[in-house]
Amino acid sequence: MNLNAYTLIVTYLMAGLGLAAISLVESIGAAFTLAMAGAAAFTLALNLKGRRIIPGAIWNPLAAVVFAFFIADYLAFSGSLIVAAGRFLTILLVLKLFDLARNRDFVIAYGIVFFQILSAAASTVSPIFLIILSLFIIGAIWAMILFNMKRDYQEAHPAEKGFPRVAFGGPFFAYVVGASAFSIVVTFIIFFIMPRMEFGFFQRKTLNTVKVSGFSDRVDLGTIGPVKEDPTIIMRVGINPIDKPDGLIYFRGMALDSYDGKGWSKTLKDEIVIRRNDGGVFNLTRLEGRAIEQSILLEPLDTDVLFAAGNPVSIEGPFQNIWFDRSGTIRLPSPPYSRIQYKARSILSPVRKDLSMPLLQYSDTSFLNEGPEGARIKALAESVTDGALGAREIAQAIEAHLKSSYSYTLNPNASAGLSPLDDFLFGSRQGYCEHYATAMAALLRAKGIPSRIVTGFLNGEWNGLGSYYIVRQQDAHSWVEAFIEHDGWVRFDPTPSAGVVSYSPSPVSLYMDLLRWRWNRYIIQFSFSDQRQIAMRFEGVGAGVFENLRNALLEKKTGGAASKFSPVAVVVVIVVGLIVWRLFTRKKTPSRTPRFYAEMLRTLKRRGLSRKPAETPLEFAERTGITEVKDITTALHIERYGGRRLTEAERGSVDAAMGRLKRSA
Amino acid sequence: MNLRPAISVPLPWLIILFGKVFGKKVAEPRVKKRLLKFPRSLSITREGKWFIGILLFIGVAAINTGNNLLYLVVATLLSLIIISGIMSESTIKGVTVERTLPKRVFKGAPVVARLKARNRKRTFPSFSFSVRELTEASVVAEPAYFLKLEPLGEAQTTAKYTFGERGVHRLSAFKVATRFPFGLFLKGREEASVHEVLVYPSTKLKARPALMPAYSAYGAERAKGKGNGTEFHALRDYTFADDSRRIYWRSVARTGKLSVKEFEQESERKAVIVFENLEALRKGAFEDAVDEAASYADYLINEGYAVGLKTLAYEIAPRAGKDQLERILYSLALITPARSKGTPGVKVLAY
Amino acid sequence: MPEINAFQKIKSLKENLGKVIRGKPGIIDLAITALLSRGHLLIEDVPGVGKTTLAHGLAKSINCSFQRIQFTSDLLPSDVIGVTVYNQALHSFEFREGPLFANIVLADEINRATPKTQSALLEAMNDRQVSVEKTTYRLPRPFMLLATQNPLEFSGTFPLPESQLDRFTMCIKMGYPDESHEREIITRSASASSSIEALSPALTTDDVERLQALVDKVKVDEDLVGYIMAIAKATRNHRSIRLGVSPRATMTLYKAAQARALVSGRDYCIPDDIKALSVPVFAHRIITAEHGAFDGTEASTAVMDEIVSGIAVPI
Repeated sequence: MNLNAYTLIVTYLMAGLGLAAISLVESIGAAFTLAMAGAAAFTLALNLKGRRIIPGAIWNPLAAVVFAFFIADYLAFSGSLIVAAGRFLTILLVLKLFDLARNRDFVIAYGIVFFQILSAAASTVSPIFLIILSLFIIGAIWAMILFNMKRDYQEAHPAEKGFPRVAFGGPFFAYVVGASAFSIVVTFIIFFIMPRMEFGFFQRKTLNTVKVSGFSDRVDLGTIGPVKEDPTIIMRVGINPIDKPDGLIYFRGMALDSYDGKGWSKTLKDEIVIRRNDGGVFNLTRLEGRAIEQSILLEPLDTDVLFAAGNPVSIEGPFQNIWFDRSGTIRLPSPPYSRIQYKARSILSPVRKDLSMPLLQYSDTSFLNEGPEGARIKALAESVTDGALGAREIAQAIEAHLKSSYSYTLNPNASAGLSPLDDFLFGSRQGYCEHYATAMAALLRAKGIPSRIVTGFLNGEWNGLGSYYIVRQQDAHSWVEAFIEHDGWVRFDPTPSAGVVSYSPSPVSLYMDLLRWRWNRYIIQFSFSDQRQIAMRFEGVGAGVFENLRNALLEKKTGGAASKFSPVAVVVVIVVGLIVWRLFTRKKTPSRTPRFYAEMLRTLKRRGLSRKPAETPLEFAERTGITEVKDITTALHIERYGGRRLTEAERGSVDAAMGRLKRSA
Repeated sequence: MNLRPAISVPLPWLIILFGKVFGKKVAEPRVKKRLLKFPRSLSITREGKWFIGILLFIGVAAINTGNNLLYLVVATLLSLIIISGIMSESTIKGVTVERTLPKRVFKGAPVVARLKARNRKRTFPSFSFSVRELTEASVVAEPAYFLKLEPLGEAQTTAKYTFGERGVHRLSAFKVATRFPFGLFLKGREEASVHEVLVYPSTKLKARPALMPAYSAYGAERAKGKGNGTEFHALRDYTFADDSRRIYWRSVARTGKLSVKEFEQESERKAVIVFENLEALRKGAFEDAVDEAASYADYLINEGYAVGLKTLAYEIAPRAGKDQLERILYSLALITPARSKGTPGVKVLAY
Repeated sequence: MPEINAFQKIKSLKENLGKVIRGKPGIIDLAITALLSRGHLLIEDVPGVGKTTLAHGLAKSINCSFQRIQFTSDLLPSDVIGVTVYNQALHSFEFREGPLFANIVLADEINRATPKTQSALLEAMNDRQVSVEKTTYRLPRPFMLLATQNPLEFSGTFPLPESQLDRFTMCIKMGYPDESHEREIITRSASASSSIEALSPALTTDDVERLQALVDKVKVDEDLVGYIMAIAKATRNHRSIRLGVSPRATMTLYKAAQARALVSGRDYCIPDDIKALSVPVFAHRIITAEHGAFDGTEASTAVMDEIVSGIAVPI
């Protein structure tokens, strides 16, 4: 196979990478990508036959036309710079594929592919990006080496048209792959140590947020049901495997206080703004107990609610400030519209120790007064809790009743004319978590116990490989919190266990998800705090240097002499490193000089006698006029030039001579 | 004999003095100098500037957006720079260069030097590098290009050298430079390879020399005749006056008569080039005169003359043959002006 | 390891020569070194410093034939090699051996002969044989040529061509004896020639051939070979040298170093063997760039000294 065929193959592989990268760009359209791939395949057929349709001369005008199209696309159609640029680059690439003749054309094509990958980088979070980038590195290194060598060769031999075949074959390919592998390793090292800012100024927003239900100020009954069959991943929650509870884990979202017969809403406006403390942590409450840490990776959602297991105590994440209310709901000032990662520390206990008198909204029973069903509910509450003493027993009795007497289904048969709650309690007697929780809250309030609905997620799928929960839409759940005197707010979940989604995952899918988790956790969401943690591990010098370096580079004022000193320290470290490198890379040929002779030379050197390089050992010995030196020189002759090991006796006399020499010095 | 300028004489003494004063060994200062000198030269090519520009642009974009994939692309570009440094280092490291110049080098006349590059690394090949002579301004040396050297392999190529001045030229080092692997940077390393070249003056004849007859100790040209030379002259009968060793036995066997062989008398035309090597007032006049003398010597030797050279400082007795030409050119290559000023002139005396 | 015998034989040869050459152990060693390395010796010195005595003494000591040829400008090749004479009685040619047919030949003032005669020696020196009229005659073994040339006499001489010089293992200078030895030489001068005559053989020609075979077995470390090459390379790149040494010269130095090791009582070479021999072996082979027409071995000796003192010794 000749060089041109090689180049063509590599070029089309690279073009394929470019198209793959473009297909990762959101909302670019599969049809567009497929059409372009088809056009590229057509050009391949032309190029294999050596035919060119587009003459080089009209390439530039065509590119200008495409650029005009790009402007129009951006302004009129897509409205997204990335999408428009992706389309522009792809069309440009395909045009270039029609016009592959000189080295320059190939280089331009690879350049376009690079920018396609760049636009994908700006838009995607898919792990496939890594594969594309890695393959691109291999191809680009191959092409850059080859084109550079070809150019060097042709500059040195202007008369020759061809290029010798040194650039082919296994060894060269191995060389390129080796270089690429090394380059990828270096890429990751640089990636992890490159100094980061804590916030991006213009963080990327996504248009494709996941629509979630139950996490807004008003939630109508029946909205959670449809999503209970949706396996879209909402978040992944990493937990230290030691902290993993044996039972189910409740990820709390939002607490709703008012029911109006059709749905729940949040009427309380008791949010307060929490600011970060010096450590970058938002402290929420001062609950006591053992808090476990979760590291939560939240997909882009259309809600501003942050989730955390149990009762959250503190939050740490890339936010300026957060809103927090007394019921335990954490919200951002606005939905992030991007994947975010944060840490939460929570107490998993079902009891929230908050003994202050609950607000009136939690005891509001006005909905019982509308229509005849209010009385039936009150009557039901009385009958279910008959004999129960105290709020806790009442709540437990209601929970037990609901669990046992109603059937769990995601598709309840709605009876006409009844409100969802009445239908659940008295009509079809079937429903799912929302119905159960609403019913319990209603019954508790009928008994005068303050209560509220909490929406969130239940448990999810545990991935033991990476020690994290995969939480999906279908894990959406709602439960009840009741105020029990002397205990505070206590969680009750009246939904039967049939409401818990059970997973039987295959190891393959767990591994795949682990890959995505790691990719997102360590690449996409890699942040300054991660760097800080890595640096912490290399305690002492390493961390100090790293911090200094970062401070020096970002000119962050940590105050005082330390920050002024750090650039100097960096320079010193670099200079010392250079000198050490020079010392270690200096040419070292293994010395064949016997040790005893080298030792003798050192001893004599201290006396100011040193052998000149052009002096033979014998001449040197004569010059010193020292008998011992002559004896040692004779031994040197035997061992070094005679090729014979010294006998024990000879060694002994050498040692003796050396001893005398050292004493006399 | 002493070709080095006199200024070099105090230098070793200064170094020794330095060593005595600071109690260090003599070679020390040189070692330090080597340590401080950065061993590589580096310049950024046009492509490299583009590359760094794009890198900075994406870097700014990465910082602005906090997008880690952009950081990843930046890291990739940085890693390309790093492996470019490593690969170019592995290309130029361990490459030694040797040059072979032709035996005779004349001023102003291009000569073809044979450059042999050797890769002394055991595992890594060297790719696409150029070798350029680091010379003083009067020497023009073409660079040579090597596409690939296998580990422990060697390759040869030729390069044209032109020396613009006569005398001793010290060629001390090559610059081994490469744009490998990506053409982003031009990295160079000096490879010491000492070679002293003696450049003869130009022997390009501008005008034939005017031969001036002269009378001198060398004697007038004699007629050819018999003598003790080596060329056969004639065969004649043996006489008792002849040395018996000269009997030509082969002829005796053929004719039965004792015969002897006679040989040609050695004879030559002689010419002496008189070069008044006065220090010229006009710059270049001295060099022109040296060239003139050299061209005469070349011309006359080729014409079969026994040629000698007489300068204000020394004299070379006339002899014939290429060896003598070599001797004269050698001395002209190194000749320096005498102390007195005047107009340097060249005359040819013929005998 | 050569027999102890070998070292003793060499020692007795040295002692024997020491009886006639006073106060010059270095010269004796070099002469024996040249003999054992199957080489030839060029002695460059003024007349009357004992060149003939050395050659003659060497011959006497190894109990072999000795011939002395005085070279003059009218000396013909046949005078040296021998001549094919027509025997009228037998009607056939017969070869009369020249003075070259001896174990030790002293060619006195070799540079007085014409180049033609000088080059007649080439084959004899190289192959230890002479060819006359398609017949090859073998010279006796061992064969060693000692040639002298007089440096002062410039007129009427023919400098040896390079090819000839290259065939001499080394070129040495006898030098004037120091005062005490000169006094001794004067007082004993009457009996000087008789002392040579009185010299008893120290070893036989067979012994010499055996010793020559032993020389080949002397060990030379590879670094020392590198040292030889470094010296040779320096002569080829030196500014004051017009023509550096040939590969034959490096081979000769290798061989001579082996012989010197044996002469010094070792079965392996040390750097000193090479360093000490590099000047006598190389100096006459290089053509210095000395201006003027003098073929000065003085100059080349100086240059060689400079070169050797600039080359690092491998230890």
